[in-house]
Amino acid sequence: MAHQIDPDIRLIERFLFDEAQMLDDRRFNEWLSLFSDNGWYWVPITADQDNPFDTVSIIYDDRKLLETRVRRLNNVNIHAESPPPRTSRIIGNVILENVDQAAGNYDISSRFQLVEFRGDKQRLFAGSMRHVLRPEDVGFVIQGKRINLVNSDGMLEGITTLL
Amino acid sequence: MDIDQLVQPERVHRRVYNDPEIFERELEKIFSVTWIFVGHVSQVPNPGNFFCTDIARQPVVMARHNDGAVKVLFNRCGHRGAQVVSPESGSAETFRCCYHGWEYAMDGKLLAVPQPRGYEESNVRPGDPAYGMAPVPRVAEYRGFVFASLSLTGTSLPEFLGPIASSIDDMVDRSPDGEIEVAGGIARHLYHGNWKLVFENLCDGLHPNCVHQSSIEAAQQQDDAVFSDGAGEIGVRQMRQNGAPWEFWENQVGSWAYQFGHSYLGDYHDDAKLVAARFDPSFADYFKAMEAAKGKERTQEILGVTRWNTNIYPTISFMSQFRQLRVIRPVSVDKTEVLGFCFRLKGAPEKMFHDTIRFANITNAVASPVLTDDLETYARIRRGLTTNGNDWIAMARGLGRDTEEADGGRCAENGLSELHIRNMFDAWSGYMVA
Repeated sequence: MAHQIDPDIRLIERFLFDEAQMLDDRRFNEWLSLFSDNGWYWVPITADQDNPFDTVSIIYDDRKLLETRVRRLNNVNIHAESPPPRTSRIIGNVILENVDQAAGNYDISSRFQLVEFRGDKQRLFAGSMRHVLRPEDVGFVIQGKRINLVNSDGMLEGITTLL
Repeated sequence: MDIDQLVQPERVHRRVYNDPEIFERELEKIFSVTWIFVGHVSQVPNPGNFFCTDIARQPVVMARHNDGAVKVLFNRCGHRGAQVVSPESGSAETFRCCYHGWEYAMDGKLLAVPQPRGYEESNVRPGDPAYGMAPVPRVAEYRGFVFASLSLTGTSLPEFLGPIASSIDDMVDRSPDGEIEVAGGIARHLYHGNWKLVFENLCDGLHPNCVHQSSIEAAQQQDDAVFSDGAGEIGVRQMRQNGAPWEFWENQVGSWAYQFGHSYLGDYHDDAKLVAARFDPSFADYFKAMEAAKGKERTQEILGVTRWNTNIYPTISFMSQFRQLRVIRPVSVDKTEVLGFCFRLKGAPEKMFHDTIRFANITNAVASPVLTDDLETYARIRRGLTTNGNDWIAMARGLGRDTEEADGGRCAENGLSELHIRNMFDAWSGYMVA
């Protein structure tokens, strides 16, 4: 497939922007549908954490847990989101790091800034992201998404916002 | 109003949760007096290893000295008072102050002062305890759990722990090698609420069905056929277990309380409930390793202990089934830090440690679908207690229905009792009026 050899970075950027928009719009089911059937979603506590299995994480969800997490966000009795947070995020510095020809995946790095407002408090999250994307006939599927917050090992308050 | 009027048999005055003066008195009368959990010996396995934390908001460092002993020092230079050790943990030959380079051994002894000329007429000399890093007055250890007290006199650690020491035994005995180690990093979070709330909540069988309704329902509706690498398996089970019916909490969960505010939820831990452990090949390997090390009978006895969260008041809450420990650090009257530690059972299959990590991600991680609803509840208690409409907070459930135990403890009517809260306030009053 030609696009695996020479992917158009603008298409990848557009995919990341659309993903960010879904999260800001709280279209969580649509966001979940971007992930593959065995996709993973990972927010490590330390930037150099090399796996989610022997070290604690802020979030490590396999497909099953990610579905449950999203279903909870849609549940009306979620106290931690009453009132719900509003968010606005900017994605930038999108770079195609690697094309894994064997697996057919693209390894994409990017940076983000996310402002969250809930109740009476505004917070700023920032960091880097790593997307493992698999090209489909139309668009991409997220095989994995890793978010490194700049303050991931800091004393944080509860986070329900999807990063 | 006097301190002893703030606590009644079935309710407490809101000031115990939101009065800054009461909080300062707690630091002085409780946290500066009693035994405070500092860390576990496995965090400082070799000479020069150190771990920084605080006691009663004062920075301290736990370090392994050259002679093999674990020391706990106030983290303050004997010269101009700067905090000496700055990263949270690591290894060093000596502690060296950033300000003027005074250097200390791991027992706090002043080793060297750069440019010693000029001190001839003063008392400043290497080795003078007055210019060292001061050791905290008392340090004691129980099976690797290091506690310290800022008071030179008082209850001994064995007396302080009393029968609740058996919960530490429960944690350590589950290791085939008889040893556990802190591993897998620290999950930390901050909440806006009083430090007592988390202790009350961790042995509160009444709250999960209400507080955790969103994650319970989300987990109940989860399709089990969906792919999991183990994370979802553990997480979804725990969320569903939170939604156990009232009859379960009433009939199958118990609560026990002891002197000095300690307590545990029992009869809950069951290896078939939260992990499919009994059907897991790694658990079979673990069982074999335990029987090889301890014999059949002793293994049955160890694994037959069914405790859930144990609170050792006023600093830690821990549980053996998934080898978790939370350290609660009061910051101000309405701000509390929580550190989540994981333990690895030495000699057990590594898969069990991976389950420990999976469980920590669900219960202790700051973005957990479970914990975040607890934190919201603490914040709402903080706001609710600012009202003048009612000064009192109830802890009445199960009152008058406790029974005395042979070991001096009290057994609650069932797992929905608020005995553990009343028991903590018995201890609280004792400390605060002393």
